[in-house]
Amino acid sequence: MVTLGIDSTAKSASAAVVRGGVLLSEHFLNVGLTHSVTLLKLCEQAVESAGLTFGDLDCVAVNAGPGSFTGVRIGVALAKGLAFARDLPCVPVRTTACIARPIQAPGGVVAAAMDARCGQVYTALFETVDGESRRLTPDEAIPIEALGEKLKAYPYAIVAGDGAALVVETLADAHDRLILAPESVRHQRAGATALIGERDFAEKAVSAEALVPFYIRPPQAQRMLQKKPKTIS
Amino acid sequence: MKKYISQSPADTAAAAAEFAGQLHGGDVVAFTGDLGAGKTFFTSACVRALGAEAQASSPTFAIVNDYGADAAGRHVYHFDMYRVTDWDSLYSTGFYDYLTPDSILFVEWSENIDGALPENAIRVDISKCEAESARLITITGGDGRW
Repeated sequence: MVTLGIDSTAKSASAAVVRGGVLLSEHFLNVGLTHSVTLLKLCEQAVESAGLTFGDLDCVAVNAGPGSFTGVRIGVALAKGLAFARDLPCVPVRTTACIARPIQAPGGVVAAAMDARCGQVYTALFETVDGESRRLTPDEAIPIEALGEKLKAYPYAIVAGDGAALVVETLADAHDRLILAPESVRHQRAGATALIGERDFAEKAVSAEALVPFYIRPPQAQRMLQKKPKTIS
Repeated sequence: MKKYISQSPADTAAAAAEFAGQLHGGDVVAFTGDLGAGKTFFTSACVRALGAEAQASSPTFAIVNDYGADAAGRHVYHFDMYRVTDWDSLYSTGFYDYLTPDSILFVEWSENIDGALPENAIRVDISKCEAESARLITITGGDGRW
């Protein structure tokens, strides 16, 4: 089975092709260019550099959230369009699972952390069991300090994702057991997306029409948004 | 706090230019003021003074306008929150995606999203005065800059 993986959930964007558990190609950009301009080109490059065409694809896997509202939307829309044109099944992948997958933390945890702005992160925790990444907590949007409290329960934590550097910097005084994942494995990358998509295909595949994004609303929603009722004078 | 009394559009533009010169990347400029008070006019003058790639115009229908980079390399955005009434609507404007350290946001009808504004937001209130073309511009916030 040949799977195209797509990610545009944060500032970076990537596309990758996987076949039978083998990563054939991965193209990654982190230069701040607009995803609506670069993402399709990355998909074309990933497919063509693997010596394939779009006609060879059996599945499209995409990081469907959490993440930046516009980034998630662009990735899911592109995945739907590509899949719909060829009647391909899609697999929505959680960005946090994609972030955690390449990192092993025996005896500790991997904390996937995405910048949700205003001192908050989209986050989930993962453990390493027999060399595989396994989810410990559901995706949630919480203040960085709250994540810090959760991480105190573990001997150590490797923090990865586009919000990882911010988390480690913010919690520096409170923790000596936080490790910032090295740059080469810190960001969500479409190779992991495609591998997860292939692994979960039987359980999670949906039609292009049924593919939807997964958004988490930032936690400020607990308080009033408007300063005062709007009046028109 | 800084107050400007403007007797004409030219006065307002001069005040805006002086104000814009003190903006940093990451700043959110939150406007309050009635319809026709001059929030868009003030923003246009700021955007011009910043040297952004595009001219400002009212984002009433688009919700957010993107004016590209200014002369100092900061990305300039302009929101109109008149039709944003709840947290889901705000989230779906992509507002949170624009809150980056290298962006400057101008937000009209900011009272509609007051709970979502950063604590160090710069508040610009523009009030009409007795004379038709006169305005009182009151600026506060920005981590003590005003």
